[in-house]
Amino acid sequence: MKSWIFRLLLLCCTLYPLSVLAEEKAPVLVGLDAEFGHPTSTSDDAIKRGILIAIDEINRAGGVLGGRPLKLVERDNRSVPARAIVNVKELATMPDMVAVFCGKFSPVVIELLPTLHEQKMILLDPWAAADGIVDNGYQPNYVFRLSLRDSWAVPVMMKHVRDKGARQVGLLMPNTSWGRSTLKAVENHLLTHHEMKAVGTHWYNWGDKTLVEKYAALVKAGAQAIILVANEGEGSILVKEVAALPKQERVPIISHWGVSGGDLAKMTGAALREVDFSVVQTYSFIGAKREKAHQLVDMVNRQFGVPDARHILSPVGMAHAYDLTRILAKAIDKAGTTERAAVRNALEEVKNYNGLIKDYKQPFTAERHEALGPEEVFMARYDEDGAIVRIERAPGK
Amino acid sequence: MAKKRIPGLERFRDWLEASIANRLTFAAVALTMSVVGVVGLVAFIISYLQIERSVRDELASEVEMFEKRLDASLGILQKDIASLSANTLVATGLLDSQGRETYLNPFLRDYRSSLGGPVTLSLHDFQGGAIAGNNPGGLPSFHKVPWLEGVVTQAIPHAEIIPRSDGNYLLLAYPVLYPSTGQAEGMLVTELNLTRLFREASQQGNSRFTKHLLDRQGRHVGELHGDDHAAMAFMVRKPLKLEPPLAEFGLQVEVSALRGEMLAPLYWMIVIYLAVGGLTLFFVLWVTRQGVRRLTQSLVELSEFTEGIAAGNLAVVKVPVVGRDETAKLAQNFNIMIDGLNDSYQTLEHRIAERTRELKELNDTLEKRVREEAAKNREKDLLLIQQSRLAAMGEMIGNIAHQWRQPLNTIGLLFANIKDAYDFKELTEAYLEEATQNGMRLTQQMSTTIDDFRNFFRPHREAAPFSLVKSMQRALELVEASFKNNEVAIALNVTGDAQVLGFANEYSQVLLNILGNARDAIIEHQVKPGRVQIEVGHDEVNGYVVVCDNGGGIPEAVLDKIFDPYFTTREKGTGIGLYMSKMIVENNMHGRIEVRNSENGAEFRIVTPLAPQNVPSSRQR
Repeated sequence: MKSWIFRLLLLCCTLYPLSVLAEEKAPVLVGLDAEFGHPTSTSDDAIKRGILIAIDEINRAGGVLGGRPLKLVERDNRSVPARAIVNVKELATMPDMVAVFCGKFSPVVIELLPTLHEQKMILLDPWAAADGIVDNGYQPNYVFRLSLRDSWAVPVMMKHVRDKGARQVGLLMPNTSWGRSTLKAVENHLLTHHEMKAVGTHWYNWGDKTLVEKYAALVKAGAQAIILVANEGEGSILVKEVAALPKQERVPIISHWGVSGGDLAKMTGAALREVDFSVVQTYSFIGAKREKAHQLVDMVNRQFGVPDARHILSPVGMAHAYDLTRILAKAIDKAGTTERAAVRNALEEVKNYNGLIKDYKQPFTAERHEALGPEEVFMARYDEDGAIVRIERAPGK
Repeated sequence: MAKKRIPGLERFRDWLEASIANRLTFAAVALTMSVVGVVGLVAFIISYLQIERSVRDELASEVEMFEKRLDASLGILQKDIASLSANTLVATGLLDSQGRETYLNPFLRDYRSSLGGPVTLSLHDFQGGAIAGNNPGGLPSFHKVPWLEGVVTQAIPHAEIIPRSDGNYLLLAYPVLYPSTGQAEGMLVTELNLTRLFREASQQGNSRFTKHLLDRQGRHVGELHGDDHAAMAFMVRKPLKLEPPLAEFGLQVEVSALRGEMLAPLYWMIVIYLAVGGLTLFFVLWVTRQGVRRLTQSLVELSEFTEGIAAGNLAVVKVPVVGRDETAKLAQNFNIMIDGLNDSYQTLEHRIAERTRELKELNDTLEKRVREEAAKNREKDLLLIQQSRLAAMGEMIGNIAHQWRQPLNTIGLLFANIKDAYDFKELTEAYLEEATQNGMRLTQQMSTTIDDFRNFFRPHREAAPFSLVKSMQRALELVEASFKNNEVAIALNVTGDAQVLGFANEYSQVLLNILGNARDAIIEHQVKPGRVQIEVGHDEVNGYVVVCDNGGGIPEAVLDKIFDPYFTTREKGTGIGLYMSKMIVENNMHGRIEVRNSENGAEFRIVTPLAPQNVPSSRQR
């Protein structure tokens, strides 16, 4: 342990002069257009922290392009696509703005796609999971994702349903492109898994004040488990409403990961413990064995006062953003310029990055703009203290 | 100021006065017209008020229905849009571009408002850009409109009325609150063709009424062009009960009705009433004429008989008495009256004959009396004239005597001297010649005096201007000797000479009369020294002579009688001189003669008008 600290200090001392040198040069800008104005969202802060920690590391290591520091420029889109478009257009006008990170809202990103390609702006997606974000049809494609895809999430969630002994599911979807993307994935899954059956799909709109009637309708239709696609707002409503139901009327809720974009445990309180609620994830700092994970937890602790890994909110956002930032820095260096088209091409050529989540042989290729894969997806639950913990598979399952 | 005579009115008055039947007919017609007029007027006023109340009630009912329809329509639209803007589906539309195509656009396309039909809807982002909608002509953009900020950031609904070629449109913009943040991030806009809505609403109900939709300033917002309000006599307005932001327009509905259309029944009523009234009047005229003729038939007959009576045919005329009514009684009484009148006539005729005879006799004697009285008066006048002439003559003789007294003494002395000269042998031829010459001169002087007096008293035949001063001087010359002999001083004060028109000798006679009276008064009262003051002068109009003596004056009791004929206060007075003087001054010269008592005597003032400038002066002889 002492040798590890010694090495870290030595590294810092070595990199410090380089970082000072880098700061003196014109910064290379990285944008973040996220839902900062969203009152319950924690994903935006998680992403920002991941980026900042990465930038801090990069800048300490001498920055990019031979000593230029990376600098984060934030914009709040309040999860409103129209504001996101305005923000991205503004960011695109800034010199040396190489790429923009997005938040967790897939519909925002989907609506942003034309603007991104019009402005030739690289979008780095650390969260939004709709398949169509990456599979957007644009050539060249300026969207790079290091996150979950709906089509990867559904098999895991359905498998978890099966693990729960259920065969009939009810689908509770948001009336958005995210919901439809997930539904499509479910439908595709059911085509190959005949033992499973969807008893019905109920749509809700963002802002609906209650979901229990739809839930009850699905249960009444025979649903043994509910596939929920929601963010923390609607998720917390459903959890509280289901918790208020008699136990015999409660069925397991297998949720997409939007709920982890906020502090669901805090929003639901004791109700969460009354409901069999699980959520799909791609990463957890809790129990992570990679050295980088420990370093990051330490950085979070130092920079943001988060005591430990169990208290990191929206951990996937921070982890994804961190790795994406590091990959972007490599691409910038590889491109040797801040010109976005060159950096975009370079992103497809970055190789051998040993990241936080995994070792990436080549995060992106010309044909593949997804840095993660289905193998990173797992189910998790909220622990007593609100921490999201991996659900270990029972042996043999 | 003489009253203006109007021929038509005069003829009408003559017609009225000519016959009782005419008066009764006129009275009946006037009464009928008055009754018809008053009844008609009252009926029309009552009918008008009833119609007006009825129309206003109808208008009030119509405006209430109209207001309810529009109120309901606009209120429903407003509630629909407010409800839609709060619909999470619409809010989700702000977020989900793909979703708009799949659910929002079909939703908006198929949306049917509570009004029962499609409504134009469009969803806009916070910059006013269109996101989704069902506008048939394409989605509108509200980029940078002035009210955008209020709707999308302050969440204040906005409404405005936009004039377009096919009518006025009501634009309603309601904020859409973003579900996750609770902030307004967009707006839902609806546009309603207000003109069409108004027309549809106004087609219902009473078609006779004109309906308007007005804003707070009274401008037409329901129609492109308003009707002429001036022609609308009846009008009721009512405000719409709308919530903000529509309430800010102060929309009000107005229902009005054309005066002519509403009052048409009344106009017909007036026409029919006038026709019936005219017929009634005609009928009354006919009936009255017939009735009055029958009623006045006996009077007419009576009148015809009275014409016979008026012609003096009293003895033979008898009014026929028919029936027992007032006219029969009148005829009966008339006959009695005729009988009485006949008797009275006979008596009167007898008396007149007597009186005529008496008058004839009286007339015969009267002429004789008048002639006698005239002769007496003539005699009186002649006497008076004679007396006057004698008085004048006496006066003249007295004056001549006074004038002659001196030369006669001288002649006497002359004769005495001749005798002495003869006695003393001093009578020479030369002496005699001288004495003869002196005697001849004196007699010539005396002869001249007589001529002067004769000329003075010779009357002039025509009036002529003469000098007051000269007239006075001539008079004084005549009386000078007399005054001197009686030691009466004369003081003449001439303040100005004046030409007066008249007979100079007559005027001198007046002066002699007054001067003589003054002298006699002084002598009679033995006033020492006697004094007569004379002033001759004139003003702008008259010439005057004032003679004032100190002879003791005239008793006040007789002061106003001294100009009466034959009135005198002196023993030897005739009472004619002052009377004649007054006649001469007032009748012949149109002047006046006045008298008053002064401090010590009497003062006579003779005032005569000045002569016109072009009248030739009187010839003095």
